[in-house]
Amino acid sequence: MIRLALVGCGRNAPALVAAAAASDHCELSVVADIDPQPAGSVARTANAFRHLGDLESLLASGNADFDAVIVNTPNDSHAHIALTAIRAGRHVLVEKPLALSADEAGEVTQAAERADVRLMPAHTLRFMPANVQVHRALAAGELGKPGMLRSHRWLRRFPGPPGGWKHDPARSGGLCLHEGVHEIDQALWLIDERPTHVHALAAPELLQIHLGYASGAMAICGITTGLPLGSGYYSLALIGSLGAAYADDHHNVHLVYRGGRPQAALTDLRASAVRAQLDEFAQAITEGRDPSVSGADAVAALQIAEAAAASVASGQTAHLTENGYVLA
Amino acid sequence: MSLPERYRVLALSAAKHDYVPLAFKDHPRFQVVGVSDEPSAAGWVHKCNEQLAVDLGVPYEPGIDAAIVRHRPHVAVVSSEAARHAQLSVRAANAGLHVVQDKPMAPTVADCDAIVEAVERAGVRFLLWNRNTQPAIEEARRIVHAGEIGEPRAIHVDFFFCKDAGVLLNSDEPEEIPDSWLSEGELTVEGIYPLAYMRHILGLDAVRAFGRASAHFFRRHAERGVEDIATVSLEMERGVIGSLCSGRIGRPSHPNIGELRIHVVGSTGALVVAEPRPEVAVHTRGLAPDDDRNRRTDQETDRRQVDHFVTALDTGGDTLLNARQGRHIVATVVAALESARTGRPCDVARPS
Repeated sequence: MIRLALVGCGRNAPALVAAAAASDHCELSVVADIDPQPAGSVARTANAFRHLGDLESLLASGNADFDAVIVNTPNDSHAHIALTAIRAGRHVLVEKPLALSADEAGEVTQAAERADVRLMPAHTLRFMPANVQVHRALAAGELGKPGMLRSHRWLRRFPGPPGGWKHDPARSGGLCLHEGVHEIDQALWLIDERPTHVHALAAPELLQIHLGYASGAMAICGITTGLPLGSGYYSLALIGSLGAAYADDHHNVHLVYRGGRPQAALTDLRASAVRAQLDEFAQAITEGRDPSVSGADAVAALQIAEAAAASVASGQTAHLTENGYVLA
Repeated sequence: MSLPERYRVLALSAAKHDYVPLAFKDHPRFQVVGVSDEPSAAGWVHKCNEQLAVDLGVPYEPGIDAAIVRHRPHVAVVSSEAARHAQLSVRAANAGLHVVQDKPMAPTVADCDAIVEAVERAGVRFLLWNRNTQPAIEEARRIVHAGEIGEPRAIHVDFFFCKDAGVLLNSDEPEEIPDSWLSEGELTVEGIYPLAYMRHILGLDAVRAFGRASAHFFRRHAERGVEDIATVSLEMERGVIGSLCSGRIGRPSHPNIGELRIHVVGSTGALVVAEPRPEVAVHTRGLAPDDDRNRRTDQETDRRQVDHFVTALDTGGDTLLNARQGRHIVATVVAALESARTGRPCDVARPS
């Protein structure tokens, strides 16, 4: 059983705690945060030791009896905390983005390789049950060669005060890095080819990333973080040369009748994905193998996210090169 | 001047589709009086025209000028090959006829400009055939214009037809699709529908496009260098973001006509439209693999479009998709395909 330390008790912590509680492969031993309120609350829920402070102080304390660290802090601290964990010989699961730049993510990845610890970025869309099925169909050759990927992901408005870190691009990396890496990684995973063209458009609470590939394949992904109510919305279509797959929470939505108009009741598929992701991380550690999502995957996604951000800023298309991109 | 009890309609060619002229067949305010075409039209076109005349119960009379003199039509319905659309529509407008035209409006923006110039000079109405009278589209427009989702921020249209277009790439099978049905490209031909949805629902035009296009499925498309799938990012008026996925994605790729979806994001809400719905799914023993399982419940879409057109004729008002709007849609498609060729975003050409 892999013993985990959760560093950062923000918004994703309850899902991670629930996933660890349901897992047969890992358990949450320690919960750490610099803020006593969430640290205490999450530690009580998880029935774990509460540490008030950062990872350095946790490692220096007498309570560092854990194998791996989950980094669940604001984006601008991911790389530093991950490196701290790696240097202490701990495996590490890092919320996305792995770092605020591809270069920094590369440093983390190389550090993990040198230390021979497992590093996994939390690219959770790969573990969404519907996406798993789409990828399985693709891998089995049922869909033929991928030609077009279309996805929509709508999230509730970012919670917290306007001055919170998610609203500060210097801390979050901006929408391309904070959310866009999910869609970019998904495209890399499903189309299995590095794009040649990245064209992105953005407006408040909106991001659209358009990818072109040398093979002729194409992907276009829309994200909005401004949905006022509800549990969000997700839809994906993958058109292959032999068939197509449609994965969404719209076709087969569950309806609840409780007076007035029927309302949608969505199954919490994200909880399943977070659990599957945590299990993959723990099993990779146990089996001494690389996780299915690697630091290199995070670097690749961040390179494209940086190109997307440059495309948004310039109004031009980023043409990817071997080492970066050229705007035109 | 009193309004005619029934507007006389002359069908000018039915080379591609017959659904446009047939939509006028039983309408109480229209009388289809004949089918005509250029005598020089291809032999297979004459055959199509003859069949349409039989279906409409009217004569087929090659020789457009003579047919116009003989029948004194008010309206020309043009459904020829795309390459002849502009020629026939301009000719009809110059003869003082209102024009209803099948898609695409024309292969080039210059052709569209010629149509715009002709219909505006003649003061006749022009309707580019569209699908905007689908119930779900009308409801989406109502919701947006009522402000129920706030200010529109983004609109995304998926328009996948699950029809085949001949044999697949890398296949050794003989091609069975006749030359007369060769596609000019899926975005080129079908892009009118999703782009017209965007315009109808939001009332906004695209100003810049980034496109990708590929012949992904079908040998004929690859040989001709035309697209069967395309994706387009659009910068629209008022800072709205648009996107379009279009494709002829092959018969096995969907249980019904295809995936036709619209997503609209507003400042205070969002909506998702499945264009074919409401629909009825019928599964029975004996259906062939190519038979559609789903049937649209709405049978009045074309009728509503004709109703709207007759109102435009009666009142001198605008049609659901006029020549300038159609021209802008073609300019948007041209910009997207130019972008796909160059790898750079391309401005949508405004009229000079």
